[in-house]
Amino acid sequence: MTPTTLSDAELLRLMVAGDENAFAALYEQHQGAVYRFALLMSGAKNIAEEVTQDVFLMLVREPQRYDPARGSLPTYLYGVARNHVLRSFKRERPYVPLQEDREDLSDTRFIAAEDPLGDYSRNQLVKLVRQAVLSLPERYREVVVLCDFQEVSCADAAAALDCPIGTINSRLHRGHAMLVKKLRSVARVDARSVDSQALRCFA
Amino acid sequence: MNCSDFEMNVRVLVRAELIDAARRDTILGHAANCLPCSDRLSGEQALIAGVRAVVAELGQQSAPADVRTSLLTAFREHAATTAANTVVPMPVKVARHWKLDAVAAAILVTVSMSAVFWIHSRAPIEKGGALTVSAAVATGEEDSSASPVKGDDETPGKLVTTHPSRSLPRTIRHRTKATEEVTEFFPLMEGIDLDSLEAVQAVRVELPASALNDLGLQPNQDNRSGPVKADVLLGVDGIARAIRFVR
Repeated sequence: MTPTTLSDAELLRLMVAGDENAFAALYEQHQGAVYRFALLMSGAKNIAEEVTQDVFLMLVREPQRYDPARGSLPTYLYGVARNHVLRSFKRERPYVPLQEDREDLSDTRFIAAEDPLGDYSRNQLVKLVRQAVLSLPERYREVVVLCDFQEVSCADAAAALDCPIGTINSRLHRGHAMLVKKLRSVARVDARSVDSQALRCFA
Repeated sequence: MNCSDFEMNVRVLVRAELIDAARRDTILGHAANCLPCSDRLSGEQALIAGVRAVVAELGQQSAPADVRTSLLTAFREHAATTAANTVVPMPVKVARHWKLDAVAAAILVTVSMSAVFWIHSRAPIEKGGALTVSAAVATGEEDSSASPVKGDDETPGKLVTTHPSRSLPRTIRHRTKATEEVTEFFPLMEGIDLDSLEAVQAVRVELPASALNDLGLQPNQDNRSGPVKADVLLGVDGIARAIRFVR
């Protein structure tokens, strides 16, 4: 039986016994999710790499911290990653730019009223959404990233973030409302910008 | 359906999760007739479209290879450290001083028997004033501590005598009586410091001469099989701590 066909619990047991292949298999299975979660939460690749490394380093050094009774291994890893991300925020907060960088969104055109993001190119849409997510308060951001982007169930998100499911639902709802509002405001600003350019053009 | 019901269902609808067709029509019907909910639905649809675009964009992203390399290195180091720190239980070296144990056991038995004998013979002792078991100390002061304790009630023949062990030199031969010669005290328990003993009690006992051999002493040539006298130091718990022989 190859390591990839084993369950997380079995791989973890082998890893604790010193099996490097088991650890490598665990890493390959879960590093992507942890890395993307940290990337969406922080918006910085260096933080995402650092968090990924720290999460798996903790798994190597203190595997006994994972309690299968409290949730799956990915849930536990998300929880550890979240703590490391928040710690990195505290550490690097003094160096966060004072103003949001929205230069990438300033060249948009033709915003439809019904679908505020319908006329953005795919790359623009991705940047716009990611920036909107990054502008959310952390407690909403982590829920939105987990449930929407990582497609974690509300129950697992509650286990990872160590809070009730009701809190997850309410934060998700509130986070969505804030995101939609932000995206619309960006779209309106961009639409006004286009109109003013057109006026100047015809003046 | 009202706006509150719509709010509870809009996410299910937009995320294309499994939903009953009738329920779906109801939700869409409400959105068609309610401007805020219609606005909410379009916003949610746009958001989910954006989320899916981001997910597709990030789908292939993962931590760079050097993270994996450094983690594997850390794993190897940790495994090596763990293996080095794993304590393999060594076979316990049974450093049993069986000779000392035998002497201690013999002394305990003898002391017990002496105590029983003393209790039964106490009345005649009190009458006659002759002690078969005497508390002895090695202060060099003749019998000052071995004499019965004279309290307020003047209990004659009471043998319990407590002495600080600091008054018990262990290495100097000395006499307790003019006719007696004693050895130094031999500890009967490992690691015991006789100088630190407090409230010890010395009891005179008789042992077989072979007990001398157990401690590496030569018995008297003319008394190889007879009993020998000894002073046993008892702690406050009644356990023998040390012994010396009397000739």
